[in-house]
Amino acid sequence: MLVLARKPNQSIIIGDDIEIRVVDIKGDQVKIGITAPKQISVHRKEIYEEIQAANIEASKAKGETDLDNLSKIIVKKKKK
Amino acid sequence: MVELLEIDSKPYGKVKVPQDEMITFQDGILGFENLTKYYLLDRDEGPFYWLQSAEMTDVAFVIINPMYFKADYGIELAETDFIDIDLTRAEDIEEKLLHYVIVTIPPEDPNTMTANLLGPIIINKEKRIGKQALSLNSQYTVRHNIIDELEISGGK
Repeated sequence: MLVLARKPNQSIIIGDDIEIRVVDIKGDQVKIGITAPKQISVHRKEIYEEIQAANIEASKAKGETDLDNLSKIIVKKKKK
Repeated sequence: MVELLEIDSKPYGKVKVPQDEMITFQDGILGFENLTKYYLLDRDEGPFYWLQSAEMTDVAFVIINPMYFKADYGIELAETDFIDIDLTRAEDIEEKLLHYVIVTIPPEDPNTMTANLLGPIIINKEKRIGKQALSLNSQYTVRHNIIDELEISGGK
């Protein structure tokens, strides 16, 4: 991994059109500003990890899971 | 004539599916990045469906249209998510978008099943391209209790 030291308001440029700027540093928190083309998605890594963990858990759904039964559970709720 | 393909499915064992109904997830689904071919099973029933991997029998997800249990559900995604499944015009999105969320079912109590509203599954039903998108709504989490949501908002 490339490691660069930056001060507040200094930036890093990736490729031609992505800029990552250190906006502010307070205690153990760094505020980072990212400018990127809109076709580039930018998200916190934790979000990916959360979704990944949820997917893995969901994929363990038993093959015997009866979709009709699940439907009944929620149809009953909807009617109330 | 549409060619039927036999695949091994987790819920039903061997099933025949129309070959042209295969959905390609170019980037896979998070945690299953190497699996890119899926089929929707139980398309005629609903509201729950199986999203079955064509490449690994054990990988199958129960999915549902979130509108069914959350009337105020909003599809809030980055433009890039739509571009990735080749839906760029508003009217295309209106006509060709299939939108689901993955359901987690605790085997001991299906009543506590939850839905992942943070990472919805979007599909271009014409071109059969799918993707796990990322909701921009900061209220959405990977675990919404479906029954609770029904009680709050009613669903459509």
